[in-house]
Amino acid sequence: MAKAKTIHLPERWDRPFGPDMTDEDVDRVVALRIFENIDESAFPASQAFRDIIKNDARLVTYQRGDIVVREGDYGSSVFVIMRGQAAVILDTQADDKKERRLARRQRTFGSAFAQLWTNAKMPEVRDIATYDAETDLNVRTEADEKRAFIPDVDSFLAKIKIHTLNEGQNFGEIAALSRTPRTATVVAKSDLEMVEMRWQGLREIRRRDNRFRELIDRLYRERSLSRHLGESPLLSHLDESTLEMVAAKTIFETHGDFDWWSSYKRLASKDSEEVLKQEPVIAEQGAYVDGLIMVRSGFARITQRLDHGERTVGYASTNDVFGLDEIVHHWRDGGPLRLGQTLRAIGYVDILRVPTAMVEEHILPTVPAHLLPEPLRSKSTPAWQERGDEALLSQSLFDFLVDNRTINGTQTMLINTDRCTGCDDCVRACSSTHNNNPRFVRHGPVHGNLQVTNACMHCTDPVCLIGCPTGAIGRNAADGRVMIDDRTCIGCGTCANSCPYNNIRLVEIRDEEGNFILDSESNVPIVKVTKCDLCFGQFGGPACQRACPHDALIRINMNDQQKLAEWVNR
Amino acid sequence: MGLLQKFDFKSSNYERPTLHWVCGNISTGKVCPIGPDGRGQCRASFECEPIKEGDRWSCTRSKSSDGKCKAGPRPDGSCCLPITKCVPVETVRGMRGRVVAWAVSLTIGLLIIATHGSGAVNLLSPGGLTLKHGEVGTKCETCHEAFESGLSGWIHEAFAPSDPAGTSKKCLSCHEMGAAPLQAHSLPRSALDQSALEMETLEKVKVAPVALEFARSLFGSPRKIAEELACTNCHKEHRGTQFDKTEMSDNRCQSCHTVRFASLSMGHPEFINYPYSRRTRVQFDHVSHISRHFEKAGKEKAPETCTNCHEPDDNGLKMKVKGFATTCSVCHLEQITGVGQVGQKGISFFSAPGLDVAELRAQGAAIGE
Amino acid sequence: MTFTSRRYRNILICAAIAASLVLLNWLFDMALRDASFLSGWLLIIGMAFLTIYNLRKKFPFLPLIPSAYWLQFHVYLGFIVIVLFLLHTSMEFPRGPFEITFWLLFFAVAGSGVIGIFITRNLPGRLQQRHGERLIFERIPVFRADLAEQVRELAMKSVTEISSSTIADYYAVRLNPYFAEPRNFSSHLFQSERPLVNLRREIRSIQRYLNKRGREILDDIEVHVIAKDNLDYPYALQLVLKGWLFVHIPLTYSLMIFALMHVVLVYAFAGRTL
Repeated sequence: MAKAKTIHLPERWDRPFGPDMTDEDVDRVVALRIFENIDESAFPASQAFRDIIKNDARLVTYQRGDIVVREGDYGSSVFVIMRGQAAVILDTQADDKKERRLARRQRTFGSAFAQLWTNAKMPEVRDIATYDAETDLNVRTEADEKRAFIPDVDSFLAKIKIHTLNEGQNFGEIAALSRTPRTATVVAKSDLEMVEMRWQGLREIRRRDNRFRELIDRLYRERSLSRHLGESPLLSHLDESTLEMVAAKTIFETHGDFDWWSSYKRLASKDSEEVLKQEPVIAEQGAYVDGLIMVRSGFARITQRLDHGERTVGYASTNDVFGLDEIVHHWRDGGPLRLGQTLRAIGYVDILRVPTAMVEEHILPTVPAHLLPEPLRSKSTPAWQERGDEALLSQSLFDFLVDNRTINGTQTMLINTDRCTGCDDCVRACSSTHNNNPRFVRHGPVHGNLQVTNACMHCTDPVCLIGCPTGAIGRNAADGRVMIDDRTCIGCGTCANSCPYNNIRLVEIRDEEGNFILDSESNVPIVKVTKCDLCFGQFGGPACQRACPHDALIRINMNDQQKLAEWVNR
Repeated sequence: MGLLQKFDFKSSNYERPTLHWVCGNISTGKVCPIGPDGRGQCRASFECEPIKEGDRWSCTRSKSSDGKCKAGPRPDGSCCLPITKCVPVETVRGMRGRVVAWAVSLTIGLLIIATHGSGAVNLLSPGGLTLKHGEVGTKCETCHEAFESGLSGWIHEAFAPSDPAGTSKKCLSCHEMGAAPLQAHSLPRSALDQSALEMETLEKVKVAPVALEFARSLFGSPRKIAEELACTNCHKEHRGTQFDKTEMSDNRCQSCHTVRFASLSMGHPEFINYPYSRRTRVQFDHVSHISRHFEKAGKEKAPETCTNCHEPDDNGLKMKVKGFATTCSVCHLEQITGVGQVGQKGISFFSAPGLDVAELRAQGAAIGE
Repeated sequence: MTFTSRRYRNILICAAIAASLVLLNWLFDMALRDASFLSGWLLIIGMAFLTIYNLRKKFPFLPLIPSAYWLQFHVYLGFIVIVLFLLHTSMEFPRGPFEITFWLLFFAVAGSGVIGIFITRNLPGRLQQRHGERLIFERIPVFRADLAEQVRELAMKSVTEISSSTIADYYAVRLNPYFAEPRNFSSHLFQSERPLVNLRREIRSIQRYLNKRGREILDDIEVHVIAKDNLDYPYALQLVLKGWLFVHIPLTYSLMIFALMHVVLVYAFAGRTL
């Protein structure tokens, strides 16, 4: 047997976030106000505070007018200003004018076509030369972005509402911690020198130091609140002072378990009653409506009591409101302020509670009539019947999707098993676009004729990102797809274990002949995690969907219930 | 029985339908991790590749394959767990690819034999010839000149420009069709143009079939695009001994003839001088007419001389029969048109025997009792 | 749009196109043209389009029209091509050996296609009928091997636990071959459960010779027998779902080679006078 090729087994911090961090740089960062009270003794030797800074942070400079982060982008790092000023743009309209950055390594047509013969003949072939390449060390997609800037930044900023951040202040922690898109655009008001820390480091420090956690969480709540209220269509008609008054009275709450995926797998096998018990009640049916609930992030289940059970009638996710029907009914027709349904946290949910009085006094009078809900109708549907006539999905399918938390997916692969012949065209298309390696398995939980296939769903709340020690798995800044950087991955399998949907798989990598590549120290085959990347860099979106001859496969955003129902009911 | 499938990454890895070969142990469920090579050879060796740590060999089996083994490597540093070799099996798609390759080579092989062997005549012939043509010969090259040149010649011939005259040459070597064999009715252009001019003077009938007008506007009439038509345009062969080569639909006549009509009964122009200069097909029984019919009809209707009915043709070589109007119509016109007739019009050539019921009853015969 | 309404719409469009092709062919003949050239070329173009569907599948990485649209086009064009073929051949059976082979090839490909679309739309819904699971075809043998191993162990256990060889003997003669490979292909295809019913009756018939423990083992064995039958069922259907392409695709290439040859022969010998 030919001698197997060996490489050094990659480890955490093999690829520091910023390769050029010197000890002097670390000194400067540690001296920043935000870190000054850190108790270094709380950190174990293997994860020393200074090491975290050295490996998970980097120094970045921006020129005046550069766009640092953009609203809506998926980022996974926090910024702390060391020198200079940054402007947070509060005026959402102003942001539309600037075109989006594209961080795609788009193939050329020729290279796409060439996959016909350039694809490997063996499974999981890797070119180990690329692992050793010293160039392009910052392998996260952020590194390839071209930096956008605003030429005449002074006059631009003069026209719009901004909030200025000074030395020692930080931003971006919301997106980094809650796995949500950036909530605001930040522009360099002067030349900027900053320290950027990836969320693995932020999480580690937050975990070890209580005061740091309190600081970060306070900022998180404050900023999340003020941003989110302004975004809601219900509140968009308020003037500034009223909005601030409403914000001052609004309560920010976090429900459920931020690490929900660990308990989820245990829950999955339990019966529906047991599952419901595990989901914390945010607002209960029959209770007094003390405020309008706006979901900030995460998922909530809406249920209604029926005899001795609870019927799931809907689910709410980011930007959905709860209790509006009742408040409007009270305000318009003098109906009772009692909730008609129960709201439960699935996993974790961040909500905003705007007091009822505030809503009735300040908000509702300004809301255009078409945004208000219809007068309340009798909402009882007999137990034997499917959900109300407005329901587009059958109750059982609905329960299935909510109970299995399929609703987390933004690119869930659904297969209609009444039409799927098992021809494997989707799997072959996937292989062809991934160097002869499929990136999903054509099986999965089935309900009726609907199979939720084991392909990455690119979740709204991607819990797989949480455990990754190297940051190899992350969200693409441009479109929110979850991707794994093969070179950074150390094959620890944490993400595969975290994924509640079994959509990440470990593979042993090989050379062109198909022999395993071994770790030079232990002779154990090198393992990498793999999953669907929605055909990143390829033409025309996910190839699986295009390749299905039988209209049986779709990649669908589970939040788009209308489209989902249309697809299911064809 | 509970569910058979497990979806987690430890129990179920990627299914790879693009590979040609998979491990032969698939049917026992004990697939070896490395799998066969690209040519379907098993390359299983040992479960791990031990590594020397100091002076000891230690097992390197990965966690996904149950971790380090109990026994550990042999003293010589080889693994103690050899994997039993298998006979790799083809995937469905691999097999199908092979079947396609076989089908293609078989087809090409068959066609090469069919086109090059001595039996090519029988194999390629699209069907038997009509009885008469069959007497000419059964060799393809008798009619198809290009046949002798083989496949490459055929391809060359196939791509050559359209040539009605060339194609029809072999037909005309037997069939004497006059000076303009490939023109309509083998008449020279001048005669056709003359006839067309005569037609122009006729009253145009506007009941032409819609389809015909449509076809003409879509595809034009053949005279406009091709001066000549090959024989094979209308006369098909290789349709068996009984095939009627001269059969032609009415519509096809009208694609050339400028005066169009829906049918013979609707819109067909008046016959002028019909049947032109052609002798009637009716067999004229001189004997019975002279001895019986003329006797009965009377002297004034009977012809006096031959030239009453016959006249020489233009060059005086042949005797022709004069037209119906000047000959037969003297006696038969009324029969045909039915003037002064009782019952059906026309001439009764024969009548079916019948029972004279009235007469039988009068005679007291028993009928139908 | 539901699949049913789409089907009606497409059938309607397809029928309209087929009818206009028949009309076109008739008009072409009326205009004193050789209509077989028209129908022939349309056939060649149509068949080429049908064939390149296979090519499209080789390029999943190019932003081509989704395969589902292609298949719709492929199916309905297929029906139109059958109409064209009937027009082209004047609905006559050909005479020469080459043409007869060509004709047979065409109907083998077209026929397998028609059968193919029929089973493609009808069998998938039945695949998970028995187990309630959608199994990957390639993995069915693995599950079957598991069941076979479990039954073998049960049979061995019976020898030691009830000190009787009745079950073991029965296993050796009947069950071992039953579990060794997929069985009752045609019965499964035609939805007949008779072989399973017979086998279960046979298993029940030895119950009277067993003690309590033996009956428990027998019950367990019966559960495995049913599970095996439930595996054979989707296996048989998937075999058909994959099998028809073993006719359709290889013969398509043979057919296209024949078509090419036919064009050469026709142009070389039939008088090129369009």
